[in-house]
Amino acid sequence: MGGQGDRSDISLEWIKGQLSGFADLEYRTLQTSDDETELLYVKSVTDGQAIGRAIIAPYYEMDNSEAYYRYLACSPGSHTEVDRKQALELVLAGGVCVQKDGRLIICEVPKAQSAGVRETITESVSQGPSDALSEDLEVNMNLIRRRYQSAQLKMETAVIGNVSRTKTAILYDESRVDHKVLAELKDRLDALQLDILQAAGELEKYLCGDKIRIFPKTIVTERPDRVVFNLAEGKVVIMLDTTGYAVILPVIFNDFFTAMDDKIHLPIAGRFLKLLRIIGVIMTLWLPALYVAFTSYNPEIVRVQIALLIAGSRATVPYPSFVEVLIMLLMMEFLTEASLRLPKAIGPTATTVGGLILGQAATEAGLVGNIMIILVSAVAISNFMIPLNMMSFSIRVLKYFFILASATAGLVGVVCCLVGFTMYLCSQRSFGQPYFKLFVLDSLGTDNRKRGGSK
Amino acid sequence: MKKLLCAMIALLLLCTGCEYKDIDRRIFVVAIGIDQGEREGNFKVSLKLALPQGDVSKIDEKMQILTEESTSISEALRRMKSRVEKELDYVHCKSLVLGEGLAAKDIRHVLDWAIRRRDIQLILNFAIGRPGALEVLEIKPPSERIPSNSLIVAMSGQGTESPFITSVYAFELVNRVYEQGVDPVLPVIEAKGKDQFLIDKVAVLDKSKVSLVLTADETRLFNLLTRQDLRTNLPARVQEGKVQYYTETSSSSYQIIMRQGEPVIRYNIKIKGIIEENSTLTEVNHRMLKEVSSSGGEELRASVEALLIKVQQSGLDPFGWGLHYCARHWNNESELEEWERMVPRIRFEVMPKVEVKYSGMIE
Repeated sequence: MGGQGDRSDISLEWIKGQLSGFADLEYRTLQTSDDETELLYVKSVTDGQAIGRAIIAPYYEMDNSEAYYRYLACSPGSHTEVDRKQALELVLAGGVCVQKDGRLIICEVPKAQSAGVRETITESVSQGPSDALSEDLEVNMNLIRRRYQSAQLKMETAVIGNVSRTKTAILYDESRVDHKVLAELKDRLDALQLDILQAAGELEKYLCGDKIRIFPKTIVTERPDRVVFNLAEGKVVIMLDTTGYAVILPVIFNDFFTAMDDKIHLPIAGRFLKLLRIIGVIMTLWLPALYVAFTSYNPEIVRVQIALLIAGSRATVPYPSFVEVLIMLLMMEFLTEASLRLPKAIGPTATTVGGLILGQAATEAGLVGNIMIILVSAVAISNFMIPLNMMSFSIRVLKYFFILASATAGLVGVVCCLVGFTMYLCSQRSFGQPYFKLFVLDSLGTDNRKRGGSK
Repeated sequence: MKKLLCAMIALLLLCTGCEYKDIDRRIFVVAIGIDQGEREGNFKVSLKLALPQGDVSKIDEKMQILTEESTSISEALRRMKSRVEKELDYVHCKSLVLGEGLAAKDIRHVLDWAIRRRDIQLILNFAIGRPGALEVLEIKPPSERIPSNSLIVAMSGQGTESPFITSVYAFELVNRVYEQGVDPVLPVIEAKGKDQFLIDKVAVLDKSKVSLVLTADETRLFNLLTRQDLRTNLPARVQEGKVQYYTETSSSSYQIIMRQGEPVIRYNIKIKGIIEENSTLTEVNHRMLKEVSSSGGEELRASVEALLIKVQQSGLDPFGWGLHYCARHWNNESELEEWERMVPRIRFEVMPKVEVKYSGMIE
């Protein structure tokens, strides 16, 4: 057998040879008067203190070398019978090779470099838990298992990436999950051939396959409660080690407009907040396009007072309306991007300089109309009402399509664009599930089921 | 496929789009006035243009009036185009004023032009200007902040709820002109100097020209009979004193009935009112309210009957009685002739049901 043959000639020297050129490779010899033991490990992925406590100290405390060997073999996370490939993998994952009298033991003493549980940054809520998924898979599993204490919550692991060897966990509730979706996901994961996988969003890119994707087909979230909520809805969650984000699939369009504190609010307040979000999306998508349509094609739609107001505020503006809109919107995008990248201490300065001074100066100089400034601020603010970042970015890009349409065909263009996007949304599938499914129909179904159950 | 898409986008960028014209390259016409020209058959067309203000915070009204005389309205408008630097835009034109002279001859030509042009909306308010359309357009009330806004607001009933104003839209007018059994009406706007107008009369047209102008009091009653919930005051006499009551709700309906072969139009008017003014200086109690109600009803009956008889004698039909009659009879060939034979014999029965139910606010 190949494995047996491999094992016979595996030695500490061979591993050392394979890992030559590792500056953080540590090779030590433990010596007593009559005995000698060799240690080999990679410093950066192992826990030095644990090695001292669990491997080196007992060696000097025990005189009997045979007892020491048995102690090592019995301690948790040690491997005695490994082949070459496994041995290398173990060492790279934080194992310590101990060779004594030609016998090799690999003990796992990994060091986890994690910051512990952080607070949520991108998906804040007003009430509700504020802990976020961390970069460590074990910690994440702990966060989720604590919230979802069910024997049905299954976890499968896989390793993705030839080089990065990213540990991946697939979580699902066996009794609720759609097994077709699960099978399709596993097929796609198996077919993946890549070297490096570092972010949850990256995985989404590889899983979906389409080249031109405008709308996200999976949720990338940092909230454990969102993960748990979706698990309970029968969705599949993929978690990656080292990322701090989880990928949820399949999703429908409406999922992106659900914030986690919707459940906390009273029903009327919750509905109102959801309505606000939808109005926000509509505003951010259409306001700039409608401005172009109303000022350049169809001024008869707005009242004469507003028409005169717009005409007055545009009196000094030297270029056509869609150029004006594009300039202001781009300026706003720069501001958003810049304040994202800037150090936290300088962030407020950028917003003040950019937002207040630039806007004020631009109108005073007559380069943009007053109304334009109001409009751009409304667009910028309402864009951030979408709870999930991925969708918020999609919508940010989409509004330019609408502006293009309205600049070429006015209100008719806006309507055509809207119809086109609705058709596109309807044609989309997320892991075989219709993407633009109407949630109203769904809730009707569950209502019936509830009623049926209570009888 | 991808190349085709790229090519199409590139081609799209070449188009500037149809009718692309920025709002600051347009000048909005807010009112049109059409008078008789100096020469027989000519039209004198006046446009009131709204000039946008550069600084919104300092609102002062800026407007411009263009006048051009030509053989046709379209010709006059085209000629005016070369007198302004921006494109004339009629989409916000909300009122069309006809000169009194023109209205006395024929309005159908102008009406046809107004509804045929697709950029003039059918919710255009029509009116007759006295002494002429231009004089009405030139009025600039001090309360006005947007050119011609006062005219628009007053005529459409969005602002003042004056019981003397009847608003007539273009679609209503064209309907009344071409429908049998109903005659068009138009409000009359009188120019009082340069900064005031007065709209308190209604002109009744015989399909093409003005043939009867109702007085202000008659106009109020006309509105009471044609509109729901007219807010007005009506008089009543109690114990030698004068009382005015305010109509909170009002409604009126009529039936055409044949009584022993004679046509009778029976008007039911229901009014709920509040006492607004009282010269008797006595305490208003339940009995007094009853008295006011009955005497107010009597007074209303007399004045409404007088108006109806005046309208009947003029041979016009602004209430649409003929249409009402034809709509309820099946003999399509002869019903209209029958009706016309019947008109001089019609008797009117006015049944006012005035209910003054509240004394006002005095303690």
